[in-house]
Amino acid sequence: MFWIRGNKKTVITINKEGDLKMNRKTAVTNILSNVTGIDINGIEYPDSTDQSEKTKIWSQTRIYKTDSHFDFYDTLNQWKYRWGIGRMNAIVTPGLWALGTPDENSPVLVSANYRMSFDVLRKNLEGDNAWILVLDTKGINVWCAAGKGTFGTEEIVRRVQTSELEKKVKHHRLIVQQLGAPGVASHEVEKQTGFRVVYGPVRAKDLPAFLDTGRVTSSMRLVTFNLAERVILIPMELRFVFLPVLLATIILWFVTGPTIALSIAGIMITGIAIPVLHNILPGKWLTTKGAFWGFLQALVISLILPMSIWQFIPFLAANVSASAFIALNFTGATTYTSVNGVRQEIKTVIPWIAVGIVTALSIWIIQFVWKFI
Amino acid sequence: MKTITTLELEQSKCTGCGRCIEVCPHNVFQIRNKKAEIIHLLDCMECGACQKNCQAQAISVEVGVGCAAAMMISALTGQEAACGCGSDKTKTLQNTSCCG
Repeated sequence: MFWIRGNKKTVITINKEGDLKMNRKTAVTNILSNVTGIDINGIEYPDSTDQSEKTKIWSQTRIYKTDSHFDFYDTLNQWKYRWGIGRMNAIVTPGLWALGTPDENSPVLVSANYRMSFDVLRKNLEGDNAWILVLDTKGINVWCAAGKGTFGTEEIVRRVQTSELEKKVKHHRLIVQQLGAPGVASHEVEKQTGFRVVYGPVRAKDLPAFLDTGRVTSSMRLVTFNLAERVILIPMELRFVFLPVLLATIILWFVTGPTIALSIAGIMITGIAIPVLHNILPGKWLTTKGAFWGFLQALVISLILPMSIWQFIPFLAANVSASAFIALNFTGATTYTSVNGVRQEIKTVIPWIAVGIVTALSIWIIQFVWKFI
Repeated sequence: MKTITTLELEQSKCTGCGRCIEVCPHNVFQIRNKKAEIIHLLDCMECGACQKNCQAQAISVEVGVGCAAAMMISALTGQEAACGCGSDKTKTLQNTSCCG
């Protein structure tokens, strides 16, 4: 198998069976998913994923080489993914990777092939020599992929076998990130490969301590959701609403007046407030936090921008409902919500949100029509 | 507003291997007298890690994503509720912030 790189848009691939593929995306995907099983001598990497020096192939041995160095390009990439840019193409070639110069006694760490997952892992292993077994999780991080099963028993077993791991290391130990556990039946992996799964710490920054002591403390096992971890999610929360909301606010300000415009602008403020004030806002449910924030927001704005009672009522209703809804949508980004908990929350809260929105809209429409009569 | 969870542990089957404690991201279990027990039931997020890694099959839980966006889209489109990421079926959800 080989592929020829044409211009940026086109890649021609010919696989083992002789099929010719011209589409860049499918070509890349095919190469990435097939590469470990085939002789990869002489294959270059697509420009969207691995173009830097450090990701060159150790030819013939089917081992890819990497290191812990983090340059400007890597940092820029991480920033980009946080804004959702190129996130779905942030893919690392699945297979066995050598970080530094690992030998037969070096630990084997199992990772997802999302570029950010892989980068965080190698960055935190500075000064260590280790094997990294990258699973094909379709470019998704460990936890999400584990939930879907792509980071799972089957894929680990397959990668251990195709990479001939038992010929590379003497020990029989796989260090799997703990958040991969929802997809991995450790006893099944051991039964099928002979490798014992050891769940490593949740956060990569705890890896050096774990590798030194061989122990994972209970705090390393615990998933947190602290301020830094929440703030980093804001760009993804805002990236789609930012421009439309800004535009709508400006237009509505002149067409309908400030109250409706500010109700719309509140969507954006809520998108920032919920992650930041998550721990301060009252209530166990995110919708409670959101509704409280919407109330506060409406109150503060009505003080700055005096309005009549018939302006305030729909303004309040719109702010509370919209904020509750935005907060509800934040459940997927948190680290603690459960499927049955959220289901219960949706069932309880959605009718009230609907009532709020309908109230606000009908009063606004009546007022708007009134003006013209 | 009591939060519900479907996590159940059948202690008679438990062999006390401790895998559930190793995999749980919310410290739901502890081992006492060589048996696992649930100490923080309401912290359970139903990720299913314990169930998957329990060789004795002593744990049962309804596994799913605690993502309102996924569930609402699933209710509207009739598709399975899942994080859209990495799946061709649920393209609409591919850009939610949970995937990352």
